[in-house]
Amino acid sequence: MMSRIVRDVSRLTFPLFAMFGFYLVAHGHLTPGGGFQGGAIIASSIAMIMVAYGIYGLKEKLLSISELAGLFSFLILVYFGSHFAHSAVEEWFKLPVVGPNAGHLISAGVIPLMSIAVGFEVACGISIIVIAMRKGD
Amino acid sequence: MNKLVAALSLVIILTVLALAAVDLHPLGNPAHTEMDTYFLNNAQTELGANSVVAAIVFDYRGFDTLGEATVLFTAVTGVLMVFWGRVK
Repeated sequence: MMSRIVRDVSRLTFPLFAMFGFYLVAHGHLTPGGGFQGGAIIASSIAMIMVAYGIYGLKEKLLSISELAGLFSFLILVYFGSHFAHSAVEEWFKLPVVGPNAGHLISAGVIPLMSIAVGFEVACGISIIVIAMRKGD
Repeated sequence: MNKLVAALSLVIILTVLALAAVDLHPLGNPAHTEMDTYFLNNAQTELGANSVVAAIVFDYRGFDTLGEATVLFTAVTGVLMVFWGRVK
């Protein structure tokens, strides 16, 4: 737990950090960025709030389970994103894989889903590393 | 003696590296451009992604990205093994 100034400033800027990270993850197929970079930014926002407020109340087990879930969802998406399953993904998620709407937020088939999965994994993984190093046990 | 050996090996290594650098293929003049041209021309129409980098990373080279995610997972597992895995 740090001083009042650090706590207030980190509390004020935490939503902006996290929003920017989620924006990068969600727009991975449209703009520069993507899962890895956005996940690192989300993890840095978590690290900032952790430095300011301490680590009490953070659930490491939940974070590690979430990281595993991100990796497995990416694995599943890699399988279903291969060539034979483009049509299956199009059927299930009602996402247009190709078409004239390239550039919209909902487009590009499995690419944004994979980006979200990778962002999930990277954010949870890096923040759990930071938490483990801070806690030390 | 040691300094003489060090200076000689430095000269030899520098000479070899300079010869290799002179012999390099010129920049901006790639030998094989078929795959790059294919990606740049077909990424948007085939996948619907505006970012060609995202199209390559997550679809054309998706298996490589899976490997990167696995590398990160392994790194996290190793760090957690160091910090949490102490035998009580």
